[in-house]
Amino acid sequence: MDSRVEHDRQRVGAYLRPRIQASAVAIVAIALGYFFVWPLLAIIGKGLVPEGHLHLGVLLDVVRDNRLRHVIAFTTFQASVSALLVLVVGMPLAFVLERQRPHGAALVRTLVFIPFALPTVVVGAAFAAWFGGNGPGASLHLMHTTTIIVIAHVYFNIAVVVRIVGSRWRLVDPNVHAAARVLGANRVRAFVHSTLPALAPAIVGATAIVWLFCVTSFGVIVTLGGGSKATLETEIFRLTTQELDLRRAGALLVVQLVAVAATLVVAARIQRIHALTSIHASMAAPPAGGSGLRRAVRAILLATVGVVMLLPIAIIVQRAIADGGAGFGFLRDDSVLGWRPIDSVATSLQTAAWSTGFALTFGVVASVAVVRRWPGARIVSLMSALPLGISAVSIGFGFLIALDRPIDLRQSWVLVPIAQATVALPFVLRTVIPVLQSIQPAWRDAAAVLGASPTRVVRSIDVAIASSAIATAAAFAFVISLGEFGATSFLARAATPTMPIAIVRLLGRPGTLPVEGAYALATVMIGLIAAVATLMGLATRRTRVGLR
Amino acid sequence: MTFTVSDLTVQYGETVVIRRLDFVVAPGEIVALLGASGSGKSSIVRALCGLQPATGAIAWNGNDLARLPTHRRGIGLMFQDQALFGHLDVAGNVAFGLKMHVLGAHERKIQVAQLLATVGLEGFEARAIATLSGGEQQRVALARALAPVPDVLLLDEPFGALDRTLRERLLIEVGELLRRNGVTTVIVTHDHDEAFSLADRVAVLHDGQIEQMATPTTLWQQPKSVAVCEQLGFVEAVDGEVQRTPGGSEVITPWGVLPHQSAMTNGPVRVVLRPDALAADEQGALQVDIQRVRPHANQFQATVQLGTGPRLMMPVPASTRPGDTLRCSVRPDAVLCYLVGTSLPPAFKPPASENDQ
Repeated sequence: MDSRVEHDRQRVGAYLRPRIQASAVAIVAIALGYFFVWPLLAIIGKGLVPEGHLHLGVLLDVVRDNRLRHVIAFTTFQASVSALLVLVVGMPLAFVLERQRPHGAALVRTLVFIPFALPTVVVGAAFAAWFGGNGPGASLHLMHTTTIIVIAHVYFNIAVVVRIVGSRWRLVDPNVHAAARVLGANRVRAFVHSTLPALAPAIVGATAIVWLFCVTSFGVIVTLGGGSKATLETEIFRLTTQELDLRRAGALLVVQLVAVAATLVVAARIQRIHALTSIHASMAAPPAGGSGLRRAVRAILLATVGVVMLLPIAIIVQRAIADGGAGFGFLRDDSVLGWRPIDSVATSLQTAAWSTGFALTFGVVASVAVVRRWPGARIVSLMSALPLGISAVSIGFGFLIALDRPIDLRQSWVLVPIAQATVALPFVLRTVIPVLQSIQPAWRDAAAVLGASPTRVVRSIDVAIASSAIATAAAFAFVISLGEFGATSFLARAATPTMPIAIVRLLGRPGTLPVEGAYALATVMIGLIAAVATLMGLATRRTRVGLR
Repeated sequence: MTFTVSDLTVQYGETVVIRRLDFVVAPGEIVALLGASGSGKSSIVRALCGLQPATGAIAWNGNDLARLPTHRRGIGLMFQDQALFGHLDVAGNVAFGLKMHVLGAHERKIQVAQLLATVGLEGFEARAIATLSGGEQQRVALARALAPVPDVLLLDEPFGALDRTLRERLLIEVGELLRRNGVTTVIVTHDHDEAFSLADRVAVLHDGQIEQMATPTTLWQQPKSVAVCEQLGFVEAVDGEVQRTPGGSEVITPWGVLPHQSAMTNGPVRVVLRPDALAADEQGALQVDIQRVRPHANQFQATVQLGTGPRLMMPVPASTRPGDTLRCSVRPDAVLCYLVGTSLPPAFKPPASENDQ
C-alpha cells in the first residue's frame, strides 16, 4: 500500500457541502424576498406608481394635504420631544446603573427592561388605567393628550438609553476623566471634553433608535391618543381600513420609509465621525463609594425608578382583580361582543407558537449562513436586518396589498404568524449571531482531537453553545409575537382576534365591564410573559451545565 | 509501538511550509520539535492530527493513521492557546474525550477526579473556565488531553503564555507526569530551555526540515550548523579564518585569535561561540572589558567586549564591576567553526553520545 496519502481536504472542517449551504441560503432568501422585500416594493409601487407609471406628484399631494401635513408634523414633534426626554432621564440613570453600580443596580436594571417585554397595548392599557376614567391620576386630565403619549414613550424607551449609552459608559477609561481634572478642568468641563466625546456614538445611536421607535409607535397612540392624535402609523391604518385609500396610504409609507432611511444614514455618519474621536476603553471604573448623602440620593433615585417601572403592571393587576374579578368573568362571556375574549388567549398562543417556529427556523439558518459565510449570506443578512428600520404597520399593510400572488395568502391563517415572524426575525439574528461568532474554531478542532466525529462536533460544540441563545431567541420571538399589534391589526380576522387586538377592542367599548375585561386579559398576558421569561431562565441555566 | 512520521509535507497553495519531514518516536519517549516562530511547527501538529491537509505517512505501531479522520487517530493534542470549551466547566472539559469514548457517567466522574488530582487541581470540577488562572487553565488542558489515554500526545507550545516562575514549575511537573505515565509525546516549542528540560531528544527545524535531531547534550555540544546554533540561542556568527599551527589549530576572528579543536584546513569559516566558551582566568591569554554585571541563576554574569567582535556573556566573580578589565581563557571545544556557504559540522569529534540520529 502506498504510504503517501492525500488527506481529505473536504473532511477537514467542512460539515456541510457547499451545495446544501447554497440551497439553504436560497430558501431563506426567497422566503425573505417574498414576505419582506416584495411587500415593501408593493408599498412603494402603490405610493409612487399608482397607475402603472411613476407619479412623484403623489408625494407633493401628501405635503399639500392639510391633514397629512399636520400628521407628519405631529409625528415628528412627539417623537423628537420623546427622544429628548428619554435622553434627559436615561443618561443620569445610565450613569448610576452602569458607571457607579451601587447596591441594587442589577435589580433596577432588570426592572428598567420590563417595558421592553410588555406589549405596547398592555402599557397603553396601564396608562389608561392610571390616568383615564376613575384611575388615580384621572384628575390630571392627561388622557388623549400629547403629554401622556410622550410619558408612555419615555417609559418604553428608557431601557434603550440605559443599555446602549450605559454599556459604553461602563467601558470609558476613567483615567481620561481623571487626566482632564488633573490638567485643570472642573467636573463639567472634564465631562464635556473627555467623557462626552467617548459617549457620543452611543448617544447618537440610542437617540436615533428611540426617535425611530417613537415615529413608528402604533399601540401607544391607538390606546392613549383616543383617535384625536394621529401619527403616520395610525393615519396609514385609518386610510387603509376605513377610507380604503391605498394610494395615499402608500404615499405616506414612502414618506416614512425615506425618513427612517435618512435617520439611519445620518446617525451612522455621525457615529462614524465621533467614533474616531472617542476613547476606547481599557478598563472599567470601580463601583462608586461617595458620601452618605450621595448614597442616599442614589438609593432614592433607584428606588423611584424601580417603583415607577413596576407601577403599570401593578395597576393593571389591581384593576383586573378589583370588583371581585368581574373582568375575568367577562372574558368568558360572548353575549356582549359576539365572541369570547378568553378565546383570544388560545389564538395568541397558537399564532405566537407558529410565528416563533418560523422566525427560529429562518433566523437560525440565516445566522449560521452569516457566521459561516455561506455563499449568498450577505444578501440574507441585509434582508433580515431590514425589518428593524420598517414599522410593523408597513409590514401588515404590505402583506395586505402584495400577498395575493402567486397564491392568495391574504385569507390564510398563516399570514398573521408569518407577519409576526418577520417582526421577530431581526431579534433572533441579533441574539443568535453573536453567540455563534463566539464559538472558537479551535474548540471544534479540540473536540475532533478528543474523539468527536464531525456530527458529534456540531452537536457537542455548536448546538450545545447555541442552544441557550436559541432558547433566548425563541423566548424573544414568542413574546414579540404575543404582543405584536401593528402588523396583526391589519391581518387578524374579526372573529378570532389575538390578545392585543382584543384588549384594544375591549378598551374601546363603552361601560366599565369590557374595560375591566381588557385589564384581566392584560393580566393574563403579563402572566404568560413572566412564564416565558422564567422558562427561558431555566433553559439557559440547564444548557450552561452542558455535558456534566 | 513506535510513532513514525515519514515524508510529511505541508503546503499552503504554492508555499511549502514543511518539506518531507521524517522522524520516529519510541514508546514512552518525549521528542521536542524546536523551531523559530513561523517555522511551521503548529502546521506539523495540525497535520499529524488531521486538522491540516498534508501528504506523507503517519503510523502508530505500523498502522497507517494518515487515512483516518481526526477523531479516530488516537492522537491527543494540547493546543497552543488551550482551546478550553468556554461553555463547559472544568469537569465537562476533562470528561469530553471520555464521553466520546462511551464511558459511563460514574466512571467518567471517577476518572475526571483522578486526572484533576494528577494535575494538582483536586476539587476544581465545577469551576468555570473563565475563573481559572493561566496555569490552572494549562493544567486543565493537559488533563483533558490525557483523559482519553491517547497513543501519542502532542503539546503545541504548551507553556508559551505563562510567566517564568510558573512555567519552570510546570515544566518539571509535566515532565514527571509524562514519564511516570509512559506517554509517548511530541512537544513543539520555540524555546530551547523548554525543549531541553522536557525532551529525551530534540529536533531542530529549519526551512521546513529537520536540521538536526539529537539528545539535548549532543545538540548543545555539537550543533550541526549555524542555523542550529541560532535556534539554541548562541551568540551571532562572525567571519573567521582557520590557521593550522604546530600545536593544532586556531581561528582568527574579530574577537581575537581563538584556540580551536578541528581538523579543518586553512580557509574562511563562520565562527560561533557557545555560551560556555569564556571563563575568567588570571592566566588567560585574552582580556575582556566588563560592561554590565547582573546576577543570573546561581552566579554573576557579565556582558563583555572581547576585541571588536559582538558582545559576549561570561560568568564573573561577584566583586566584578562595570569598567573593570578581566583576563579570561577560551574553551577550544566551545569555538564552533562552519565552512562558509555550507552547513557542514565542526570538524572536531566530541565524546560519542547515544540516541543520535
